[in-house]
Amino acid sequence: MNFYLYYYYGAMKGQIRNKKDDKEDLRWVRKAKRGNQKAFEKLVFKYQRRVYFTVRKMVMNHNDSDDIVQDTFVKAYVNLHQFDEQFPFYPWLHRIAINTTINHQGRSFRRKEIFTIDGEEEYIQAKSNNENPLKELIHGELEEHVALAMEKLPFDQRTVFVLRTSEGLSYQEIGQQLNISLGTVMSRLSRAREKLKDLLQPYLIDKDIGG
Amino acid sequence: MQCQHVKEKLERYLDNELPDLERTTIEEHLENCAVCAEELQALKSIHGVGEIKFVPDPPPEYWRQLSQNIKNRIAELEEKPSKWTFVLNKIQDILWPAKMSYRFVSITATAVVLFLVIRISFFENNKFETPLGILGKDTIKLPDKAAEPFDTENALRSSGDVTQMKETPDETHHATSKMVKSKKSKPSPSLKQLEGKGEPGDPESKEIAGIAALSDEERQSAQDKRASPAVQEKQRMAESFRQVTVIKPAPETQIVKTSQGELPRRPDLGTKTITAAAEEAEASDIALIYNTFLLQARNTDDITEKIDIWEAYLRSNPERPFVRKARYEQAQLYFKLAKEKMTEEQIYQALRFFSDNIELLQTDENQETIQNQIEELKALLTNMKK
Repeated sequence: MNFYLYYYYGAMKGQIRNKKDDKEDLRWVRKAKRGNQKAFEKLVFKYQRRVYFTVRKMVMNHNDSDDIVQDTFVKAYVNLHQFDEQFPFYPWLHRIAINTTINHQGRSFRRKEIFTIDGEEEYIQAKSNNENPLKELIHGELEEHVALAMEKLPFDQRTVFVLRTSEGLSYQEIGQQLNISLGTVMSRLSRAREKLKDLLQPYLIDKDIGG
Repeated sequence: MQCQHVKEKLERYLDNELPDLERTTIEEHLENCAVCAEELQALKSIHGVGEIKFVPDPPPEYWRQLSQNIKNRIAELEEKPSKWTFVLNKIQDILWPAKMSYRFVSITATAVVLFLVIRISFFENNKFETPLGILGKDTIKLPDKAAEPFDTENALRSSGDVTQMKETPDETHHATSKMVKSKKSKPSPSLKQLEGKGEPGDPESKEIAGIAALSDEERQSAQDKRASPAVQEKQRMAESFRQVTVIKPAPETQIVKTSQGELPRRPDLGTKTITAAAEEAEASDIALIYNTFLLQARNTDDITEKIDIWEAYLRSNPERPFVRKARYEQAQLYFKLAKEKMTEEQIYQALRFFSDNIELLQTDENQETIQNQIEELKALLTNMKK
């Protein structure tokens, strides 16, 4: 139960938490548990983007992400009776997504990306806060470099980095998610940061000097 | 606090993973130390990297497709079985009960295969006995210890029995070896008895008869007194060798009732009859010989040589089906030769060949070509005479 609470606050950090949202989810979940597929479809439609981008950031590949997202929702549907209704739905789904991703990558098959996106340059603007020194950089260029740098990271380091920065999980939550110790979380995180620093140094230094 | 310690903790400070006390001390240090502040700024910029959305958006139609795919997969899970699948499942349950695991099936299958293999190996030796039956012969009944009190005399006696039992094979071995020795050293008395002089009631003759029964062939060799001692020695050696080596008996023919009547069959030939198997083997040999000659004939360009090769083939006493082929081959060569050389002699030779072998040449397939060729040759001859 403690874990769920931790997780709840961690996963929702930085996002506007809406009690209405939770109530709506709960209503749909209850209907889906009774065998109402349309209610579950609503949940799918609501959360598929979030799950997709979480997975995509870890996997860095569209085809694998597609598989994983589908598997995640199917698993969620199959195990819906195990879901505890006193906790919000999304963190539970998020946990399934991460487990599925790790299992999928553990099988260590990597297919080349066949799927190419037409509007690859049209990135959505970064969720930047005012403290971020990178916000002034041209978005398209920066994101391209970041994506390349992230691809160069090993999967385990990237996962820890994404869970910490994008998903806002604490060290403890990451350790519980990935079934690793706190020390391992910290070492992976600092290694990932070092590598990213090396890879992205030219863009960062320019900005620092300029600022 | 030293810069080194601060730098070690900066990451955790950024991630809000430090206790409040340490947090405040680091904040105090950062206010005074520009180097550490810069370090923190660099770390923040890296942290910001994770916060931006660095993966591209898939095309807008993808989302609908994704939800549709998920919907389909869930629908597949929930799909209610139709009547037919229900019936099929029932049948499957009857044939293959759910309790019967794959492991159980595999174990029984291997057991059955092993049993069959053992069984077949016994069949090969024409011993129609199960391995269990053979084992059954060796079983020894143990005395019931609980029922009877311990008796030293009995125990001693039984132990004596055991020793006797142990000795028996050795004794028999010794006895046989002695008999063999006697046979080798003194062949003359046994010969006398074997010639019919000895009486069956005589103990001596009984003993000798026992020896004679061991080897029937030796009796024959002994009867032939004129054979030289060297030959006798060889025969004896051959005999002893035969006794030692276990000669695998040839599979016996069995009479099997078939739709065509009762036919002899051998188990090693499967369902084939012996005559059919022999014919098949012979046919393959004949075909092989024919093919070797055919290859030889093809290797040469000289037509007369080819004709000679076919002649040699026909003289090597081949079987029916290929005689016609070889003759036809020869006829074609003669025809070719006649047309090439265009001499009276050659045409006559060809015609003679045709007329000599006309019966063999006129098969259903070749009849037309042969007759055409004959007429052509005749026409050539008449033209030449003109």
